[in-house]
Amino acid sequence: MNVDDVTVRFGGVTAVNHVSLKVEGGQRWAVIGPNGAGKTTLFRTISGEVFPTEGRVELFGSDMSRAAPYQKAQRGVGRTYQVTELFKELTVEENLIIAAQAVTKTRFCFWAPVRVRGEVDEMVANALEAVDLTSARHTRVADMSHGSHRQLEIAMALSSNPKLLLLDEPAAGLSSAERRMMKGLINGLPRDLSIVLIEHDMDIALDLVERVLVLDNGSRIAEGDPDEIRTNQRVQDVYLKFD
Amino acid sequence: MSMIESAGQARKALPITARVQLAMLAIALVVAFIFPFLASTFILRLVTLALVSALFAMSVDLMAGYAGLVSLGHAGVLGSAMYGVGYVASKTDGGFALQLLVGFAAGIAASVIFGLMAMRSSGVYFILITIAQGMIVWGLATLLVKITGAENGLPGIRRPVVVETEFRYYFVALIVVLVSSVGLFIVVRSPVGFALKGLRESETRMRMLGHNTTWLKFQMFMLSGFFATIAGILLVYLNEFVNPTDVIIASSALPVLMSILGGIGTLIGPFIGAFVVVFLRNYVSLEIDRWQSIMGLTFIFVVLFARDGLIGAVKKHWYKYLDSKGSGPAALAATEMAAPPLQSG
Amino acid sequence: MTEAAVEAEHVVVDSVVRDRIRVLIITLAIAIPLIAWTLTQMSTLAFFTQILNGLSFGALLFFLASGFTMIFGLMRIANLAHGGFYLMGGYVGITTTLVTGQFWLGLLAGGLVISCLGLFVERILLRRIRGMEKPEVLLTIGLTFVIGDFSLAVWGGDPRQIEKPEYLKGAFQIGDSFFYPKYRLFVLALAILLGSFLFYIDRKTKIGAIVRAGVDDRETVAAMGINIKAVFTGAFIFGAFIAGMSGVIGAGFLSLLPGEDFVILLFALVVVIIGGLGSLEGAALGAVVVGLIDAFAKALVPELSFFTLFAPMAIILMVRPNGLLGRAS
Ligand SMILES: Nc1ncnc2c1ncn2[C@@H]1O[C@H](COP(=O)(O)OP(=O)(O)OP(=O)(O)O)[C@@H](O)[C@H]1O
Ligand SMILES: [Mg+2]
Repeated sequence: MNVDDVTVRFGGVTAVNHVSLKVEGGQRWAVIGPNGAGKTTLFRTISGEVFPTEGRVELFGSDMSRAAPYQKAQRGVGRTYQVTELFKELTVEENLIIAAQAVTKTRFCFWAPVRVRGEVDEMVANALEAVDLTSARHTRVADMSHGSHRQLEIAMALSSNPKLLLLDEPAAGLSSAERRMMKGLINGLPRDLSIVLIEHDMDIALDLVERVLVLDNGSRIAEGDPDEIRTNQRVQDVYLKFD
Repeated sequence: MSMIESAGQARKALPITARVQLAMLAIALVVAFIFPFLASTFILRLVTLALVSALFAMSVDLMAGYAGLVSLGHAGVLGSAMYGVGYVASKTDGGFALQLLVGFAAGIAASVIFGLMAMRSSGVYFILITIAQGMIVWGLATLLVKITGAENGLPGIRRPVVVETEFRYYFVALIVVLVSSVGLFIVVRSPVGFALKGLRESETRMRMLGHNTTWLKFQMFMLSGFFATIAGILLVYLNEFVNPTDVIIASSALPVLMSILGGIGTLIGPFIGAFVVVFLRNYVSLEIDRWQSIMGLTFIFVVLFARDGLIGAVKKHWYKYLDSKGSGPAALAATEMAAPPLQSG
Repeated sequence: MTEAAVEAEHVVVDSVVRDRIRVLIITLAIAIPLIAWTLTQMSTLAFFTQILNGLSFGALLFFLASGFTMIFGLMRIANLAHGGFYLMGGYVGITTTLVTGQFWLGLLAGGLVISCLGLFVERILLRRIRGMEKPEVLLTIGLTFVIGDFSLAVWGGDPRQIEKPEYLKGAFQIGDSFFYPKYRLFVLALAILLGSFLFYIDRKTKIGAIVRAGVDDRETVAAMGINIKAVFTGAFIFGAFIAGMSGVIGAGFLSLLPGEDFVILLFALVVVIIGGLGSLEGAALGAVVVGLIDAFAKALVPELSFFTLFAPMAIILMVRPNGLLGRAS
């Protein structure tokens, strides 16, 4: 993936200001920065919910700046949300089936039951296993805890076998014990999957990734490997000012 | 209680519900095939009408209940099929096969046009667009005198001789509706059926997952329109007549009312709702001639106080009963909640 | 202002302007060939008569559509009972005028009776299902059936018209040979008056700001110390008032009869669908477009006069699913 000099404006607000981000296959990145820095907006640009005002978004070698979200998802972009967005009235399994079939040919099929389609079943089972939710398979999502919702968010993104995974604050609202679990979970994801992670908690973010991009007020203020970022004076200033 | 035990209980609890459902279905089928030999022509006609209405209501519920996209103009599809059949029968000397063909083509054509118009909208906008669609079909029905006969409608539609009697036509309707219901049952359990449920919950999320929701909605229109067309053809041969009252907005609102009354988002709900509404309409109209008010008031009452419908009420009590025996969903959910949300990952 | 802010401001204005230009192009692309064709079909005089017919019918539609769109913009309720309000308001006006002999009293009575009905509907019925979009719509359609049936029971099934005052009867003369009904011109003037009033509210008052802020900021609005519930009730009553009044106005040049509630509702819906739900300018634009299309269709292809609504609506929805001036959701 290659985000090339992207700017996003909402009316008068410049949410992302000339930011570039190039993620190689299998790389893990973190995007950090204070509230309102433009991290989520950057994600929304990559996944196609908003179009860049300026600049280009390239995915897997082709320019997809103006592609619809579903086209990008079809190409292999999976993402989770800062505020969990799940199909609350359906069960865990149904959520995952809907997510998995989106990228298979079977999504147009109306003449055979879901179950007959082995491919989807396998994708769902894999995703459940990856986040350790297999036992809650038939639970209605609305009846589950916030922690499980976070797990399911990730499973939803994983179930379509993405090549690029965008995680927007996967540990938001979790207890410290749950955070540690989440950290382990992300760490255990397949190594060939490219990941971009937004996270406020520097301890989590910096331990999980190879590269870090720091945003403030829409602009890039630093970029480098975790150790460089830890010692970077500007980053510390920004964080002291806001936290 | 450990996970494994509770999962085992879940497996035990389902068959109770499933067994009861199967038993009721079997009884209903037996009754459906035996009672015509005992009932009067009048009752037989009413039940036939209820069956056809049920199919129409299910086709509407596929959109309103499963996908959460309420159409208040689906009588436009039903009516197009009716007028297609009626035109050939009444204005030309085309035979039964041609009548069917044109009726089918008209219903499907209406679905395509409706679908193309509404597929990019959702929520309230969707409702408003479908109302306009249905009303415009009504407008054409009242104004295109040469084709539709305006207020006088199209007389002279006749069932084929083999199924001429009410008795025989009942069985035709019964079998077509049963086969169509199986078709709908397959659709709602197919990937597309699942996707429709996702659409009901959140369209934006569906798009983020990679679903082309515009296309999905078009597909939904076609599927629903297909079954509504079948219902229209059955209805026009039942009445042997079609006129603009078949496409007034009340005719589009009725299947929605049937769905909610029975239980929206299920297939059995609209079925039960159709029987309730058809019989209510007939018997109440005998007493007082104010059907529109009664329909409107039922609408208001159901929307305010009984949005889950009859099926919802039955389900609630059934699960309460199962819970009291420790095998209902609440009991099971409680054990799920007790488990730590994040096990070692 | 900093340089960046100026630039950003520039971009916003730019995108709005570009958007409006696109709307204009769509409208013209549909309108110009139609107008050219129409002019080959009728004399210039007849053409102008039809223009005025279209505008005056559009004026009536604007009464309904503006109330509808305002309630939607504010409360996210699509009040389908607007058609019923129109019909019953008109009947009340006819009866009042018949009894008192005063047209203006009839106008007022039609508006007031329907306002009371609106108060009841908002306070007693809709409040129970506040925020549930679909149940709200379904409730209002159920209500329309009840109102329609009630009106049938009270006023019967024959077409009814209102007795107009002397000075609104007859035709107005322009030049030597152009005559046009005074009453329709009066309707047009009334709509312009109402339109100006609504635009004033929309642009210059707090309520207008709330309407334009939309649902997302309801909490903010409440935090500003505005009693949002009272505003809702007030807006609903006001919408009901103009709907009831428009029934009386409509009874002056159209007939009221059972079923007319849904016909006028259809027209109002097409207006807001074309114009864009929740937008006052959209309602005005849509009303003019629909009024004109209907007038010319009735003159040229009477059997297709409903279908002629369908075609532009379909085309517009394909290019702009949220209507010409609707906010993208
Ligand atoms: N749709 C929108 N319209 C207008 N402004 C927006 C919109 N979305 C985001 N913004 C603004 O853009 C800026 C960046 O927001 P964004 O959500 O990307 O920040 P963030 O870094 O994800 O913050 P947080 O840590 O709180 O999640 C904020 O000032 C926000 O108010
Ligand atoms: Mg964010």
